Amino acid sequence: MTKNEFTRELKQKINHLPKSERREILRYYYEMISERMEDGMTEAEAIEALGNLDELLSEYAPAKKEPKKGVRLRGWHIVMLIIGSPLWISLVVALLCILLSFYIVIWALVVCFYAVFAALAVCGFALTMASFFVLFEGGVPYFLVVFGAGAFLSGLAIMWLIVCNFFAKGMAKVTAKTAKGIFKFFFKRK
Amino acid sequence: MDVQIKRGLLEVCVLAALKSGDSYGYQIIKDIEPYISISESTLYPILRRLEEANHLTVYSVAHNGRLRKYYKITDAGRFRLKSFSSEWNEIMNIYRFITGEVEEIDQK
Repeated sequence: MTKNEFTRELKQKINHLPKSERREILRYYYEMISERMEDGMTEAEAIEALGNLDELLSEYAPAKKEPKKGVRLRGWHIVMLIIGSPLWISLVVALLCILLSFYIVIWALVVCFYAVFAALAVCGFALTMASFFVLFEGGVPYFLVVFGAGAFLSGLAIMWLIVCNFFAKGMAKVTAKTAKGIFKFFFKRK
Repeated sequence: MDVQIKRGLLEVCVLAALKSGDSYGYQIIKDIEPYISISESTLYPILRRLEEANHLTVYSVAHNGRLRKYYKITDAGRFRLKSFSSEWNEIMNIYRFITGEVEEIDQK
């Protein structure tokens, strides 16, 4: 066995001891290996001569398994959770409100887009209709101007609708992804 | 040898090895080995116990570019050594009692 292998094995065996103790034991064994090698042994022979590591542990104060800190901490966690509830509950509520407001803002934007479309469409339609009345009242030039404006606005409305649909779809995708992400975050946390 | 008896004897042996002068781990092993089997792994806890019981003190000395730990027997350690030799008669009595009983078993 090499010194490295020995160190690994030793460290594993004394893992349950306090850190200062582990360091002390390691230091002791290294000293002993050096002593034996100075005495003419090879590294492997020196390590062989150190004796059974289990002997070290059995002679040692019985390996008390330190009470798992986790259990105690968990109790503390619960207590802290209850004590801190006025704080963290309000924080969570605030966070939810912010998320909700973001959601509302995004969809308000979508509604705005459609409102613009509705305005364009109504104006375009109204102007196109109105142009016929203008034809009887004011003559051809006026008719052409109003009809042209109506046709232009109608065309703009159709193109704007395409933009609106694209935007709405995009927003739907983004919000769905975000919602999924938030859900996953909490789910994983649990 | 019985583990409990050996443990007690080894503690006294280590103190005996330190009686005539301070010594270090490997030297202690070499001194004791002819009389009682001992390895590094058995020696370490014994040194620890003796140190905790204040029967010896530890100090480090530079040697070949590293530190070598030396052990020094204290007055309490010397007292322990002394009381062990005075206990010896007691131990011999116990020994005779046990062997006497063993002989009786053999006779039956």
